[in-house]
Amino acid sequence: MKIAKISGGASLADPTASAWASVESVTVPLQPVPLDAQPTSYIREAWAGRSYGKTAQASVAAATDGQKLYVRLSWKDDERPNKEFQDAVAAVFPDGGGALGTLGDAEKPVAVWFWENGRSGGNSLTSHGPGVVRKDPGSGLAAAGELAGGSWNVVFGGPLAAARSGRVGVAVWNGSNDERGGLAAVSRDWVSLEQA
Amino acid sequence: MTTTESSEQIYTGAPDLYRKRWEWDAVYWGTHCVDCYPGNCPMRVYVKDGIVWREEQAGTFGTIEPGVPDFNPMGCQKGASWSQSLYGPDRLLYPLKRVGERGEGKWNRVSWDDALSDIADSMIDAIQENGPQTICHEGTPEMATVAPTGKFFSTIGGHGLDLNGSINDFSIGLYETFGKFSPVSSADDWFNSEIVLIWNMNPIFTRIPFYHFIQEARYNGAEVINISPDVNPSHLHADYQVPINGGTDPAFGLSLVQVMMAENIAHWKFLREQTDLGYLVRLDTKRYLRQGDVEGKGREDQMYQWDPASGLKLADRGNLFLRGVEVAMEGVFDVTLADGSTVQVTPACALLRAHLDANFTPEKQQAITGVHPETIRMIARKVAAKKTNIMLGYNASKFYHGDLIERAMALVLAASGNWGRKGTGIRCWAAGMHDGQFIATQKPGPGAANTEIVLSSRDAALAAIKQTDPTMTTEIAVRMLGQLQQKMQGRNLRMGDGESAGSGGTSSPPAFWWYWQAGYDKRWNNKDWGDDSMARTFDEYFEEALSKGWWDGMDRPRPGAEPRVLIECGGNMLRRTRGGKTALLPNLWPKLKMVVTIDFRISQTALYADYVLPAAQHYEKVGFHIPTPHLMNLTFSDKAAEPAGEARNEWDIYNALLEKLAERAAARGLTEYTDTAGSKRRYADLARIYSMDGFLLDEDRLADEQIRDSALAGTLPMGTNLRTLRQKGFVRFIDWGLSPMAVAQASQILPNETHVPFRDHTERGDPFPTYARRAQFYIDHPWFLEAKEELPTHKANPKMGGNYPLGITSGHNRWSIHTMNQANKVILGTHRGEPNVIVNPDDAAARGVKDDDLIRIFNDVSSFTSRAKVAPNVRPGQIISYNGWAGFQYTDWSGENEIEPGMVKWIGFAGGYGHLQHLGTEWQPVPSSRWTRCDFEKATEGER
Amino acid sequence: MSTNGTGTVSTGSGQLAWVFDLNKCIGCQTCSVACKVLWTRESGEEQQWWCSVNTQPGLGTPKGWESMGGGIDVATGKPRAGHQPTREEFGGGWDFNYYEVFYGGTAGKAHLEPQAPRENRWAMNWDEDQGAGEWPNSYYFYLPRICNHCTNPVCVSACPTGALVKQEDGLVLRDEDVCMGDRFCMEACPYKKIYFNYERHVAQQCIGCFPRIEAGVAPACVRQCPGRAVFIGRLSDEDSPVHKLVNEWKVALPMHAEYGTRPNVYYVPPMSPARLKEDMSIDTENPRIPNEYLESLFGPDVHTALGTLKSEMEKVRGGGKSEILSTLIAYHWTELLGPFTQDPAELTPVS
Ligand code: SF4
Ligand code: SF4
Ligand code: SF4
Repeated sequence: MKIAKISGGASLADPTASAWASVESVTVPLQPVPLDAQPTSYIREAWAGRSYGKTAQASVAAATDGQKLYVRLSWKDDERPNKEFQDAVAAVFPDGGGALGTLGDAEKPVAVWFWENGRSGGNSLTSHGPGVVRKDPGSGLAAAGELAGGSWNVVFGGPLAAARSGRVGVAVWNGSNDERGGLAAVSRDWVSLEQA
Repeated sequence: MTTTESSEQIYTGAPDLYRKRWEWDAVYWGTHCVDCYPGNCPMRVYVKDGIVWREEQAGTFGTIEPGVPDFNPMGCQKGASWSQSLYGPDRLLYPLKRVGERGEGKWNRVSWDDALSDIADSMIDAIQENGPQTICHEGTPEMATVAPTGKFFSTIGGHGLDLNGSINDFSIGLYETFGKFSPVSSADDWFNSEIVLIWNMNPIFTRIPFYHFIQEARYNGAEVINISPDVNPSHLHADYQVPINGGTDPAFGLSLVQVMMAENIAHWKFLREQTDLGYLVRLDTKRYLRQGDVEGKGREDQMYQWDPASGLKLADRGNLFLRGVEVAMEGVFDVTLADGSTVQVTPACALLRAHLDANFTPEKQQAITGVHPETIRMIARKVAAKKTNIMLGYNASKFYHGDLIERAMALVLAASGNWGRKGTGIRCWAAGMHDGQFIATQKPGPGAANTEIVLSSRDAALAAIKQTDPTMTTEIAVRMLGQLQQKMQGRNLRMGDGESAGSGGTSSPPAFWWYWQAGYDKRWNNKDWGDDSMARTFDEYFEEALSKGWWDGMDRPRPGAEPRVLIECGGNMLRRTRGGKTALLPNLWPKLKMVVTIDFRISQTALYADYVLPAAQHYEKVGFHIPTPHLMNLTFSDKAAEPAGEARNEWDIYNALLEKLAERAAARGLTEYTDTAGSKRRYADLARIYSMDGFLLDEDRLADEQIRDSALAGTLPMGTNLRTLRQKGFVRFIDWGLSPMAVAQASQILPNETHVPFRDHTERGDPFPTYARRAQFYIDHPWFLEAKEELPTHKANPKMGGNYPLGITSGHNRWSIHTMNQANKVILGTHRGEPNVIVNPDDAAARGVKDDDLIRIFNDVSSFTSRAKVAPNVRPGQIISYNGWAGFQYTDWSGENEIEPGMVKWIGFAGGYGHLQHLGTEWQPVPSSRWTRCDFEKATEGER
Repeated sequence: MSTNGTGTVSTGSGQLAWVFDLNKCIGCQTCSVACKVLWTRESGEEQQWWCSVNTQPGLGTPKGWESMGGGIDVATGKPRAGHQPTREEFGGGWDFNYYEVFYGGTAGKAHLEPQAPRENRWAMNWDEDQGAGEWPNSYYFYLPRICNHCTNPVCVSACPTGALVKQEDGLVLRDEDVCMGDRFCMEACPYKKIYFNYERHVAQQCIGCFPRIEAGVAPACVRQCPGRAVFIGRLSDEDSPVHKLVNEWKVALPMHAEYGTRPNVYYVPPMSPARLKEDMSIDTENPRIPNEYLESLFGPDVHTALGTLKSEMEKVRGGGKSEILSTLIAYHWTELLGPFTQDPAELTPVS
């Protein structure tokens, strides 16, 4: 997938911006992060009989204005409201060499750009496994999301350096199913990121 | 540096956020100088950036009596969140002027100058029309306001209403018995009890800081018995819960005495000496045998006992001790009178025993009270054998026949020898000891020399009174002096007042105000709601009381002298009065040309005022709590922060008002006016007189002077001053001073011992300040004879409010001090956040009501709506509306007080009989409310 | 700014434990209010009562917490699934229409009331004093609760981020910078003593007043309890009342030990007044709180504990001495505070 180069101050940070219409997007299939990879016995016990990570697929698009990398993630939402947990999404980068399917592990982490509905901005995280995350302070990550026509469109705007690994993955949390932490649907494979 | 930088940060990964929250710049002493009685909890007030951040109990009391638990850490949840009221949403910050109709809730913020000008104009109008006594206030126990308000009304010659008559924390039956109602042990003495009877009290709600002494007494071997119609929270840590039919406590108490006497386990020596039950009563007239009867002359209040060895014996009015003489407690004797005739006499005790045996055996009382006879016998035996303390609140006094309840309680103690030694007694309330608080504001000028003038004139007056009767104790003399002053008020100078002329105001029991000014005459004359044992109409008794002059000087404001200006400073008349909305608003309010509320918070009364003036709250001014024998300490509250907004302390507000009064009067060409006593007062002098030339306006200087004056009066250790209090936060009193309620303790204060009242009576034989000079169980006042209440007896609750199946009761709640804290969000979060009425599940089901449904509670008087709280702790037939919700928390701003007709027991108007004479806070007619009849039904949501 | 003027205090090690004497607790909520005013009055914390007091039997806070699961299966050692209490189940935290009532020109019409839907309304102490049974034998008592700082804290082990740490002296503390707001701890905790801050998106719970402990000052719930009902101390300290009440005399018991987390808050079970028979005579043999109910809270050992208390009470009533009851009396208030007797007001403020 190519990172589209867009110049002239187009508002890429806005998930509904028309500029995104011209950017190539790739749809990737998602699968649940495995139960036995969940980091705590509590989660494994409590979710043993519950399904999660059912979001089937998501689309990824990437663009840059030369300053920042913008990643736009979209997926269909079931739109069932939940007062406690919110829909969330992450762009995953294999920076620490970690596996995508488990969102990294103890030795090899992955880098995560995380956005959650209802909270302003995004969180840049280092993930050492499903839900095993640390916040990276001062990452300068921006994020915005928009629910329209039954689909979420979320744009991250972060350091261009994130694209260096040349790969990106997607993780989606369905809030109405109480999904959070490592209870997510994650893309089966990395999507390549090519500099335009 | 922060709190934690020099503390070791031992917890890794613990958020610094919380270390930062626990930081402050300065610490002050504080307490909550409202009518939180006994209150007085010493707190530390923590200030951050000039704002009170929080408070915490000090916990610095030492041990008083070895082997008795200490007082720490006195406090409660209200006190622990007072700071949240300080800056809370009901806090008043600016002067407000009503726009629109009274009570419409429309306000304009105005300047102090505009507000005071308008108020001053109304005051001048009132003075011009009918004199300064038409400017009125109702007393309030909001301690911080008592001295400034009192001084203000004294300065202008205004009129005040006796607070205890309004709130009815007057234990009338104790008063009838002891000639005083304020016997109060220090709370730590509760620990010394072997039997604790919680009886018409709910200390788990109302004595949060002190309750532990009860449970600790239990761990120390005491047994706790809770006597109440409902399974109230104080049953929790009791050994026995005794459910009693509402208001039938006299029968219960009298039956205990019946058992003690019948089983001969009563304390006969105690009864002979301490009580009048050995006095002889004429069988023909049912009156005492008096000296005049026998000798043809002598004191009207000189009675006789019967010495089995020598016959008739003049009762000693000067000492209770019989020194071995076993005066007869039964038998009928012939006595030859001065006119040569013979009458039969018998000791009052014999009449009592006949009365008890006829009506109050355990079996007979069961029919009245519902209490099992064996329970009576068990309790009677325990009480007779053990040091017993009755935990009495102010609940009994609020029954129509509350005096009968309390007389029965007093009799239980008498028969079991349970007063005047540690672990015994009964409680009510008392204030006093901080005599300097009033001396400093009433003496001719600042300084110790002026204090000496007041002290010596006080001593001289007492000496003069004592000279009239050598048997008189200081306690009795103090009361007589007070009663005398009460009668002379408005006609003469009040002793100790700073100004030589034109000083002092008037005061009266509120009953007259209600009767003449607020439409209660109709309620009290309603036969259906009243006492069916009355031989005559209410008005006939009322007229007789007036015509006999029993209330001379105090029976005001009369018709034709209608109040014109009402200044409520810290009080909340509309919520407090039974019928604030249904009686005061329609009858009294139209007479008032100006209603002013001075307060730190919006109250129900403020919402119907013309002007609302913002006062400093307790953490914003220098002050003291109500000094009480419960604690025996003067506690201090410092100015920890500047008053919020434009709030000012009360001294300052009143002074500014008087300055404005002079200014407006001058503008109208007025220089002086005539007060009730006929003296002239000059407008231009008032502020100067009020503030003692500015002396009272300096908070620190005033507080220092007050403390020093208490030391000079001997109630605080010599050398105590403001600095002492700023360091320690409290100082234990060393003597009682000369205020009636304090002197009434009749016990020496000992530095290393708990306080128990009445030791002077039991250890020295000091007489009681009653007509009979003993604890008086036989009252032969003609009205008492007419009522058949010469002896303690039982009478059923009248059908106050009409003939309805349910009785409503009340009591202080857990969550507020009266309405104070009702708007505190933290406190509102500890309950349902709105008023409720507790109903039994069966009563609820019968009316189709579920928990939290809106219900309408109604009777002949009025109705109110509230949420139902369905709980099995209340008995069928009873509903409970705990007291203290603000009117504005109810759907139509009407609360429980609106269905209470505020009946006063007619006998309260009796007088002309020894101690049955008014003295501030004491003997007077008081309103009742418990077991008002009513019913309820489900109300429609949204119903007004 | 302030500092500890008397030098530093080491808390030492050894599990900290609380003992709440339910025979002294009067349900006054001073502990909960003190805690709230001290720690949770910021926006986002309105609903939080790290220390709460409920009337038992009752649904308590959060509503029906005893049937929300969580904890550890004692037989298998495995954590049990639990329910995450919702905002509604906690309830409370209301706003009020103060302005409308006081200044809105709606006098006599609008009244001060919680601005919250009536349906399913609940609050921290909603069922206060309701209890159970039938008059005249209705019964209830008060139960203060804080985080139990469990020895086997399932909240800690449930958390994927490692935000929760069991400290050397047993306090369970959360690093809020690490907490991601995943709330597995809230599900796992069987006592439901964890709250969620929807504004800051972190979970919060009793911090054991650790900044006070660091300065040698007892926690607010202990130091501010006017009932003198709460002890704190180290279980390993054989002289401490906490050790004696729990380990030696066994009159203080954990609540719901079957939840498997080994709580470190212990309760002296309530002795209640005698029941009344049909004819209203007193049944001295039976307390009004059914023993089975107490057993459901404090386990089968409650009978022994109550038996010990009863015989000690009888001993003292007969003129004897009881070390257990003297300890519970706590003649000197500081006996309740364990090693944390520093007066906070004496910590010297330094600007
Ligand atoms: S409000 Fe009263 S009882 Fe509570 S802490 Fe203050 S003074 Fe004490
Ligand atoms: S402060 Fe003490 S007595 Fe009051 S509720 Fe809390 S534990 Fe109970
Ligand atoms: S009570 Fe709950 S939150 Fe506290 S330590 Fe135990 S499991 Fe954790």
